[in-house]
Amino acid sequence: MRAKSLTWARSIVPTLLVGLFALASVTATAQAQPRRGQPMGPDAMGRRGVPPNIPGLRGPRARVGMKQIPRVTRPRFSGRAAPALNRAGRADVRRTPRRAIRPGQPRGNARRPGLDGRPRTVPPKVGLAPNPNPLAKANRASQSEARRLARLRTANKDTQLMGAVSRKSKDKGRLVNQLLFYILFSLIICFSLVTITRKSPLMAALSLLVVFLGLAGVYLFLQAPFMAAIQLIVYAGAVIVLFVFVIMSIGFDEERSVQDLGKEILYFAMAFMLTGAGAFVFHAGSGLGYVAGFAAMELMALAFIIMGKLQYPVTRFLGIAAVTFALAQVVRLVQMSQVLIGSTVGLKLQPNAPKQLYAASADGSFGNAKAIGQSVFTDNVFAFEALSLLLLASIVAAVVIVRSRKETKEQTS
Amino acid sequence: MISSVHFLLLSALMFMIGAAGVLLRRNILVVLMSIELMLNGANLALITFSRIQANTHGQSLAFIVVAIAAAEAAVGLAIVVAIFRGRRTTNVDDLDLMKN
Repeated sequence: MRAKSLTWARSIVPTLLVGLFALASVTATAQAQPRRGQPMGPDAMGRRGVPPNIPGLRGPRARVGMKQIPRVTRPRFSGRAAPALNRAGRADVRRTPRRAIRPGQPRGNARRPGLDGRPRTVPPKVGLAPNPNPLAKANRASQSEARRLARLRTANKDTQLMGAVSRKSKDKGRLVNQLLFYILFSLIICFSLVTITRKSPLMAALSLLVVFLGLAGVYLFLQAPFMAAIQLIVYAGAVIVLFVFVIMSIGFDEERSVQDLGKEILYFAMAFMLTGAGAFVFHAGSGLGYVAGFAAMELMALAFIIMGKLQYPVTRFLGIAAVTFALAQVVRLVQMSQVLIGSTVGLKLQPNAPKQLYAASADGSFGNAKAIGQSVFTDNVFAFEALSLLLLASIVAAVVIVRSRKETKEQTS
Repeated sequence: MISSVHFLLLSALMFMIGAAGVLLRRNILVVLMSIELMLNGANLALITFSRIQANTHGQSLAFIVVAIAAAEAAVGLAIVVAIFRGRRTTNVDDLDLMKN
């Protein structure tokens, strides 16, 4: 029994190490991300740190189309007055004389008087007063911004269609980020499948641990570091330990030989790599690369089915190959209908909702403990109090249920 | 950057796998783990929408869901231990205490 469990542990440890390595690298990149400036945040004015929903400032952010557009067309200037700048970033000289002949203001050189000694003015006209609403100015600015963005968008369309390979080297970090996300994606999916397909509940619990660790990494991608910490502490720390404790106290049956286990781990590693690579190719490529990635994915899934038929029992491996195939199909479907999904789901949820995630806050204070604490203890304080009652009740219930009948009888009698 | 649709896809897949585990498995421990999977998928969707809307309330709701999941796991495992003491089984099909 002891030797058996030791060999079993030897086969599961590399898998866990892979998961931990992926998590650590994701943590490192997520830490390094805010220092690169605001990675995504197509604000209407091109300024940084503007809260997302200002009425009247709804500009081109609502119409951010495909995935590369915000990065390519993000305006580079910041802090200076946007409307007075032309495309080159210099002051627009065409606007200056128009301001000088505005009604009611001195015309021409104000310091030099006219022929009659008074400053030269244009008599003010009724109905042409300057708009006192400052938002109108901002709207005008955002409209000119929108026109500029549209021009740039059409100019850059060709380079966008080239796909991930031809992009500049500064996008390399972003590509690594995407690759890490899809590695985590396929890690989570594969180990969820392991969780519900293993016969041994201990194996299921350990793969569930990998799922929770990967999910903590995904939370870091979503700017939720506090939730990632909670995930690690509560799930990976407490719930899994509870499960393993109960499994050990109940006793688990191990029916499968170690050789089969190694084969299946190998198989799952391959499926994991394939789905990850496929998802990455689908996401990064567009145009020709898109089609090529899709064809490669389908061929790989087909090869999996054939390989499973040749070497192993058909039923089990057909099932897993079908899962790979289905994952490829789902990813492809999402890619093909991304615009549709973004325009239906996104529009119904919030008329201004961008399909891309944008940076909720530039300084990274969006999902930290302070923000969550303010939300929990002010707006959701009733839920918090109810939760404390629930936890108390569950503690009492667990103790009462677990206490054996003999003890209860001895105490009552 | 990564589209939010992919986070939602991940959460939907996790939820589906968890639901399949609840429906297909007979071991009550694995059923409890599948419930944890489903709760985690729902949590991921909550946090994703919180990020899309730039609103912290989704994350605090996910926090509450985590606490509820922990309480559920504690009580569920206590029930499993109590049942296993009496019946020596973890099969869901054998748990027909209420039928007699």
